[in-house]
Amino acid sequence: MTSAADHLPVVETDRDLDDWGRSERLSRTLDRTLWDAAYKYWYRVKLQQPRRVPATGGALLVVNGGGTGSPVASLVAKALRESHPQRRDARPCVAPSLLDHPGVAVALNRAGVIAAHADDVLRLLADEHELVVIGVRTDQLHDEAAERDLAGHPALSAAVAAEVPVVPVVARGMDDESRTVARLPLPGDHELPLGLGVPRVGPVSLAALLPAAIDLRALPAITPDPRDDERGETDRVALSVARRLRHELGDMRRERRSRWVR
Amino acid sequence: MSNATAIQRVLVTEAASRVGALVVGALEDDPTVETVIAVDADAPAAPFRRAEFVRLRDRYAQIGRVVGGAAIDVVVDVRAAAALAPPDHAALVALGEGTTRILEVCGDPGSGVRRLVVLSSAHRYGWGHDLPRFVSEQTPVSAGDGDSPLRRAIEGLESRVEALAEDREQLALCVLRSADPVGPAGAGLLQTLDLLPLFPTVLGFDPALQVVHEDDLARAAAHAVGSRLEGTFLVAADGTLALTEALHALSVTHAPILPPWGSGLLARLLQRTGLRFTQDVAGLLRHGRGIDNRKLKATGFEYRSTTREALATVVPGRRRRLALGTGETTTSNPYDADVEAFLRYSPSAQRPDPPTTDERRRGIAALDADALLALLPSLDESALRALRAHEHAGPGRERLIAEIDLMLAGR
Repeated sequence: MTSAADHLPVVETDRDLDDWGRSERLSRTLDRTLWDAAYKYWYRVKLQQPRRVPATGGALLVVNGGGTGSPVASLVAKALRESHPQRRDARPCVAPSLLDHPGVAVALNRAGVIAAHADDVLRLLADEHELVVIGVRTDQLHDEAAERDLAGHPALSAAVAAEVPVVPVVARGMDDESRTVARLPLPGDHELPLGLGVPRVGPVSLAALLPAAIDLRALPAITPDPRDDERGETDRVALSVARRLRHELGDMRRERRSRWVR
Repeated sequence: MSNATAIQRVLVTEAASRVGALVVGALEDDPTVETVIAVDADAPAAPFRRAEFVRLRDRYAQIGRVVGGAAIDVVVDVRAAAALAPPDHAALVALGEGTTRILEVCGDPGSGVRRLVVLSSAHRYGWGHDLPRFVSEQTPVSAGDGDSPLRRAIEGLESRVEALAEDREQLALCVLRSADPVGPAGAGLLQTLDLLPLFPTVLGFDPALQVVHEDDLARAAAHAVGSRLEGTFLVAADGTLALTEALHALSVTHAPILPPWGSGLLARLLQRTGLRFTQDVAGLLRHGRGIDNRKLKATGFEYRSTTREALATVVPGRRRRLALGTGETTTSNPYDADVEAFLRYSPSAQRPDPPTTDERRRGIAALDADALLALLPSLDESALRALRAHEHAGPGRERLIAEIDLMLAGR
């Protein structure tokens, strides 16, 4: 009996959708329009050390600045398409409950977003050798939150089980630059962050976050070694990722003179 | 999995159903299967080539005598798959009683049955957003939501055969959890909405859908017998389609007219009023389900149709069903017990030579012209040329050759 990884489904090249539901046509259109404009002109994203993301094989990228409505995972995916030597594609990964909302489910699915389910991420990382990106909130990088949330994230468990590299990616200019005064509860345990401008200009204030120039920096990969204790290794990797992101973000913020210009 | 190649004597339940007859046909092609005994309460639509048919009335009451008398060592239980192709509530309800009789036979310490192959269903997983995009053999069966009658029936069957296999160590158990089998006779759960003028989908959702061609399911059952598989295997064609893609392949007009909220509650209410399978149809339309078929492929099994190709074979039969109001197909050679007894056992009867291996493995050439025409768009240029050469040298169906020429000219 051969390995299941050797028996991926045949690809029907005349189909627009792949088996994960991603539309090739829509993804390309979004990449050339929305993400191109956001990457080059609105956020002015710059990815440092792109070679730290493996050139081949599966890997999990953990970026800070995530949370409900955050585009950071998609921006990392766009940055890899633009700056990585192999122009690698990556799939943003979100909480399954986000894909349980009408309309949102189809739109995100067609754009290539996947739900954070351990079996699915394991298949993508170990068998399909793809890159998967997850976002974590910057205010949730302290040790306690990392052990609770990041270590319990299905994608991280899958990466440890698959023994693929976990690459922390620091994002400066996302939620670290915007003071959050409240979080609006949304269905499915999601929260929408509300900034200081809300009392004055209402929802328009959400745009206050947008024009900050975003710097992304890939850190050296952590290769899990689960051996006998997969759970313990997941905790160790989660703590290691959170601490590296926290310290590197602190350094990057100290280097920055303005949130608008580099 | 064992590699022994000892000759096997196999009994197939529900052999008069379409899926059952296909399983019998696939087993007849297997040289390691010495004897195939087909049993059912009803007579089959057409005679079998070498299998012997025994009519068992009263829910398999006499199955023990047949198993003992024919020295059966493998039982293939097709009842669950037959009850789902197309979904039949009465057959699902009757599963329990038949299971008791079959398990009594397999569990008897003096029984010669060494292996039990059960054609079950992926409906065991239910539906829900807690399920991964692709369910696999490792996915907990409790992960999905809901408690539909369909899921309950499959769970009842599987839990009982699993308990028996645990009790009787020398009995090897193979459970094939199949996606909805589709083919010229029907489209599985999708068929329950066939008579509506407009196929309703849920606003804002386009879930995953995967099926298996009924021929591939039958071949998978024969593969499980021939390769002596043990354990649980998922059976589904390659290719996970979005629901709208599947409806397009079926040429079904659809519209998102169901509200995204409350469809589960409505389905439960409709189920209580007597409408069958509404909970499962609601799960299909809202959540869908992809299936990881790689474990079975890793044992050497090859599917002949993708999900899209399997759905394409439904279209001609569906048009006929909608026009005539029936899915039954007539045969020029119906089964008649007396005629069969004469042809098989009378010294006056001339018996035809058994089919050659090449004839058994005709593959795509065994499809009729309509089914092949539907598959042509999915073939690449080299496959089209190979098929044209085959048609030219063999069957010579002019309509098919002309269509292939047209497609080759356009590429």
